[in-house]
Amino acid sequence: MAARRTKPEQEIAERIYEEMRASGAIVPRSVYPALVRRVRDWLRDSGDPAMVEMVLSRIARELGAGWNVSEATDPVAFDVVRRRLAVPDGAWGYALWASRRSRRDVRESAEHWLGVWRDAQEAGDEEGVRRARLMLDRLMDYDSAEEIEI
Amino acid sequence: MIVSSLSPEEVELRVLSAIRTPASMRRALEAGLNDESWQVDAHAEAWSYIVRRYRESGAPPTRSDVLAATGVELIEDASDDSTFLDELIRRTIERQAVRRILEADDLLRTDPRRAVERLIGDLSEIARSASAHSRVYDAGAMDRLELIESRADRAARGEVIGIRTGLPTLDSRGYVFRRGEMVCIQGPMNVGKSTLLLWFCAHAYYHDRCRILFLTPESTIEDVEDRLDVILGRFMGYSFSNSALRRGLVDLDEYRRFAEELSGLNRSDWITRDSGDAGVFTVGEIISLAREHRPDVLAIDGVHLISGEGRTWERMKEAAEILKGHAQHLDMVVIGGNQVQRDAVMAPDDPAALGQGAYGLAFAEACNKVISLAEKRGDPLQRVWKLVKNRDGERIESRHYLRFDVDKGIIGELNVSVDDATGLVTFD
Repeated sequence: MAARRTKPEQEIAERIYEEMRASGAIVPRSVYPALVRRVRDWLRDSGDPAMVEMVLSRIARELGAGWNVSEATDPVAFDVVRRRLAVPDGAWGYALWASRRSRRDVRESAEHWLGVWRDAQEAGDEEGVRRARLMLDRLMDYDSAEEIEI
Repeated sequence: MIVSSLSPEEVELRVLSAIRTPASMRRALEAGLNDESWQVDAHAEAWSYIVRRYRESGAPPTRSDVLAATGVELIEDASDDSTFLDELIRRTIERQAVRRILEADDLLRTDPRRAVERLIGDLSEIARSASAHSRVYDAGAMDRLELIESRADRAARGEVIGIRTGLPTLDSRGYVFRRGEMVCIQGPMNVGKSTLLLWFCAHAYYHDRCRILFLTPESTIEDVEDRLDVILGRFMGYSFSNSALRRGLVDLDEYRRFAEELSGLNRSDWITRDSGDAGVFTVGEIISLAREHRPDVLAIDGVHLISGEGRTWERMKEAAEILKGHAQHLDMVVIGGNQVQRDAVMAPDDPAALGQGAYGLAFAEACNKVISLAEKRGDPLQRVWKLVKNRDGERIESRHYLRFDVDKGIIGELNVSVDDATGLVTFD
């Protein structure tokens, strides 16, 4: 018996599907079940929904209409994109949030702090990681406050 | 006495005889005397004996010891330890050079290009070993005082000791380019290593009046000069576009003024050299060009394109060591661009670590400084850099940003200011 779709699987697949359609590609609804299966596989392997969503989103954006969901998303492709994105451990949630910001200054600031986080992590600088996380939190607060104001 | 008319036996005997104190022994070793310096077998044997005794006891043996051990009778009143020593070194170089040239004779007939490359390498090795520097630290203290005083004078006049990089983060810390050192700019393909290299050179040429030798294995000279016009023009107050220059759409009046001003400098000390059809330079060719042009800065746009018999890690290491030796000997800075490995390219906006340069650490190991360049995600007009190796000071592991407008020739550090309350960062 086929496994039942979980809520996170369905939500991620839905957002990626909408992103594919928004990019102008003609995406038949029949792609959707294959997309859910991919999401399920990678969630099982990586266990980080933000990472899965961001990597899938990048693949969808880069390949657009040329993306054959059932063929082109093997684990190697997933890993290649994951490494290219170079997001530090524990920062996928922030990275996913940043990638969806429309304000350039917010996006650029977030990229800066993610880079600082990565540098600090490589150098074993816990204080640096803590500060980067704090700044990202403040940036999120600032961004949502601005949105409310608008 | 005309020294050059003396027989080899006489010169050698006088040199051996003058080695009577630890200081004269040190001078002989520092000058480059070795087992190959002797034509008389007995003298070679006496030299080996003297060196061995000096290493064992810290002083050379007496005349009677040498006589008893080797049968060579040294001259009693020989005290000039420099005139004959210089002559012996001169003759040794001559003999070794002639031997290498004769050995290359057969190869010259069958494969002249390879023979010439080998000769350049062999002959420069002879010149290098004869010119190696060493100095007795404590005995040279007063000479060092003079050097330090001259540095202090220059610093008091506001001059920089070394060649400025043009990046305030480095220059303000004193991490300038120093003569005798090698510097590597590493980064993924198309990140702008060549442009940054060209910009460093243009800065040194224009602001520190340095003589530049720019070697470009892949690009044409015209391509390099198109890019240089834009960068140098910017330093001189002009505003060109690289794409406009290439497409023939530049403001001709402005370009004419620039060309006239450049020509009016009457310097003739920027040399660009491509590799012709070969697409690569050999180490021998690079050294030969450096010897010919005597630059302050030798730039190699793509050290991974240095060729040899097989492009291996060992070959690159050997090439780097030879280049380093010549940087010191010719008192120049060598700056090379080097590609990073595929692993590093996976994260194109993260400046690569030291071991991710092509051929591993082979080239970077020999370098005093390694600047790692990366893209900045979402902004093609900016770059991220770090100083991942710095033999003269601390590494700079935190990310720094460059404005990087290749078309307009604008490259410069961006100041990062942070609003702690919101986390917003501005780059200007």
